[in-house]
Amino acid sequence: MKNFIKIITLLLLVTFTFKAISEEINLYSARKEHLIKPLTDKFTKKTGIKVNIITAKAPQLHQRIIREGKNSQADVLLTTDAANLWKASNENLFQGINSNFLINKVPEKYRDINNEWFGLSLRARIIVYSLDRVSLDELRGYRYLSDPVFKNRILIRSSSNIYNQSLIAHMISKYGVDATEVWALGLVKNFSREPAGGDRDQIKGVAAGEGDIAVVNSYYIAKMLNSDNKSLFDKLGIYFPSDETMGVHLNISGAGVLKHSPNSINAIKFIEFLVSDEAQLIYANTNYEYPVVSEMEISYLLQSFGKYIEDNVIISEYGRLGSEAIKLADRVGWK
Amino acid sequence: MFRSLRDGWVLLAIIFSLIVIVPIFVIVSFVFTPQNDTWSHLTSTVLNSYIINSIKIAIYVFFTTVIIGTVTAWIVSVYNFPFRKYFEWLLILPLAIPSYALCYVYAEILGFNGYINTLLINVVSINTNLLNFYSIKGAIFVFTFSLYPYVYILARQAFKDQSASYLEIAQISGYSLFSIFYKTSIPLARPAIIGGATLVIMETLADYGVADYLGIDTFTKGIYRTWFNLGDISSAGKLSFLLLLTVFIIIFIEKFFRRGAKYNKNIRRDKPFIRKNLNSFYSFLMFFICLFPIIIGFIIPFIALLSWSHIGFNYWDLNTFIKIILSSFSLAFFAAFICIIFAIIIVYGLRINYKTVSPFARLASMGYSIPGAVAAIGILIPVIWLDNLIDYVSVKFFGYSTGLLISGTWAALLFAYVVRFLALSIQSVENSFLRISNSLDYAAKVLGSSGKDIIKNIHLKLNIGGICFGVLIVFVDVLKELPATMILRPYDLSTLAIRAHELAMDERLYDASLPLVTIIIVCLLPLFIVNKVILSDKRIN
Repeated sequence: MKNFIKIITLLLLVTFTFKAISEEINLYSARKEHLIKPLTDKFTKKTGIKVNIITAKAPQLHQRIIREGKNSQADVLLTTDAANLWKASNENLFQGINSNFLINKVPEKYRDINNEWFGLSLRARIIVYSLDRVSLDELRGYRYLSDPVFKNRILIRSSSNIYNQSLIAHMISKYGVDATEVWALGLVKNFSREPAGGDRDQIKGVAAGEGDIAVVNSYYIAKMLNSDNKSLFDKLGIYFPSDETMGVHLNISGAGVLKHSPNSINAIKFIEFLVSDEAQLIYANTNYEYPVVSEMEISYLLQSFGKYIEDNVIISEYGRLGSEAIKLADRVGWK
Repeated sequence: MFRSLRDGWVLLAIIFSLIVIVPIFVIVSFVFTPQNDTWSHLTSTVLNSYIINSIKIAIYVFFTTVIIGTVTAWIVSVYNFPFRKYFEWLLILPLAIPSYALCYVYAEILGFNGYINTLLINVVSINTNLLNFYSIKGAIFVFTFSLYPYVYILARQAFKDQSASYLEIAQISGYSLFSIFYKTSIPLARPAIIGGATLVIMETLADYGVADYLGIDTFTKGIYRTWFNLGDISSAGKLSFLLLLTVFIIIFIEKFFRRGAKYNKNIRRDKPFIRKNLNSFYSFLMFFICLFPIIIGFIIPFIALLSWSHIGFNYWDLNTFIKIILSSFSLAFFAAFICIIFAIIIVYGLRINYKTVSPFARLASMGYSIPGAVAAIGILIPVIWLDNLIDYVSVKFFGYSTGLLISGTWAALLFAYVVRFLALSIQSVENSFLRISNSLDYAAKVLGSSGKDIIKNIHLKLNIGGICFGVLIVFVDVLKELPATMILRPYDLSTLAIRAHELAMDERLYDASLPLVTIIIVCLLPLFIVNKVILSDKRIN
């Protein structure tokens, strides 16, 4: 027992001593460690600033930041989806970032009005369809997915997932709640099976003939087309939905500096690094995301997907309309 | 002297329980936050189907795990057949594979272009893709084969300790072994079987990973949806309270029915039971009955993971991987150790004064039925409150800010594990302690032993099996634990389970396989040790 207490004390001491080293930042990341680690490693190599990471889901990190309050050691919150960034900003977790570099690099619609957070990478929610069973002229914007002609043909994951919530929120901002609810009701009727699994499962579903059309994020199909099994997916086409009212649904991953950050100067340096050409290339080449910096070259595979029509929505709308979107999904029985 | 020591134990048991109860009360306290429109939205739209799905899954999983766990435990306890000794511990192995991992593996191999799918299409032209694994059936399948070992472990221990004379008397009276099984052994082992099944149900109800992956709306998924998506942590807390209440009622009903019967009995096993030899047909049958859950719950997923980890091997860098193994192992080791100390103290208090200690012990076991991420918030709140108090005092008197002293350290994390998993160690220790007759204590007392001696020489020795299993189960569960570890961990600490889960969620199952295989291998180590102890335990008696 005595030894045990000694060990525990030792462990605690070790933890505290590590905390005392100065040139470092603490990163709360809702992006998974294997995605973010190549970026932080590069940053450390370049600047000598160590990056300590904790990963978890965005709402869990929000709770930890809120509970830790003014004593929090966290410097940066990095997460996918504009809605998560909007929520963090709404809960007053961020501080304004004063960086001309970031303001110049990141287009206005992909950052917060008060410069509390900045977008770092883009992804499109696109249609992957069976080349055998769908003709290209059947496909138009998202709103047409509720058309009865698609009955039993559509695969999409659960509305518990924020990608779909943000899509619904985007629809609400374009067409209003009532029209979107009618749309969602029609869409649910067109499902070829109950929503289950992730985006890749929907793509596999199309490949296996369980449905004709899958609504998924762009980088998933990109990764599958770059894997060893790519021959399984060569009968699939890619389409960026858009029509006269609404362009393609784009979302971001982004980051902000936390209000009580003890190392805010280094924290800003880190976010600036993430929009540097070098970091943007990693986003594009290893995770097949579109760079947020518009003049950047995209990977060859993404180029082969073709060009998309951007929508003019202000991306923080996804957050503002987020809970409305979830409640709507519950009402129409979108699992 | 003896009297006061006894009271001391009771007090100690209550204090230890209270430490664990604090976070549970924090969650219960969410009930008193004001009503908002999320709550009415939930009750009017989705709450009903969440409840029905959860009840459905829990009932099915209860029956399947009780049947598989009890039957296999009985077979390895009373029959002789080839490889019986190996089956004794092989049957525990599925415990080493996290439910969510079992789920990923089967979704993969039964799904499009999966091993089994391709095999079955080519051989018998059945397309398993159409079986619809993404359903309640799929969830029941996963929970059954990953959780039945809880019932098996406790039931086997109970059958082992049933006095051989019961069986012999029954046999002499002309009963077949099978009728003894349901007339004598099952009723006698009931507390253990129900105890194991309670753990299964608690774990099933609190699960998020499987339900989320398979797209089933369970109650816990509803809790997370409320928190993660609607951003309403207080409604999530209220839902968690409902879940707690349900489990509490189940446990209460069980204890109520158990009340009439006293299960502690003569533990003298002066002669071991002689296992019945079987003819070759029945040997074969028993062999296959025992093999079946192992194949589904362990061999198939293990082989699949092993072959994939070969593909994903290059992804891992040795130094990082060793660091992750070490942190996972030490967290699990310390947590198991602390849990068992808590459990022994509390169960000992129970033995001395059941009436007083029992409500505290039951409440302290409730943490297991709180979904991990919610439990984490229940822990974060009081720990940070304490941190802020220390900080305040320190600033006031010494002008020095201590910041967050405990939260974000190993201490907070270990505390979380005790809150989550104490039920497991209490269950295994209690079941073996219950079987020690009070008359043994009295005899020892009359012979002049002190309380300490009684504990050391009688209780610890007779209960070594229960204690070992308590340590083992917590060790394995901490190794598999995800949400609480993710939320509460210190900077830069990662575990095998977290890394595997993150990769698997990103649909990189091949890269996730190596950490999953490692979890299984790390679990095997204590399993062998425990098995050794149990074997030598026979010699003690």
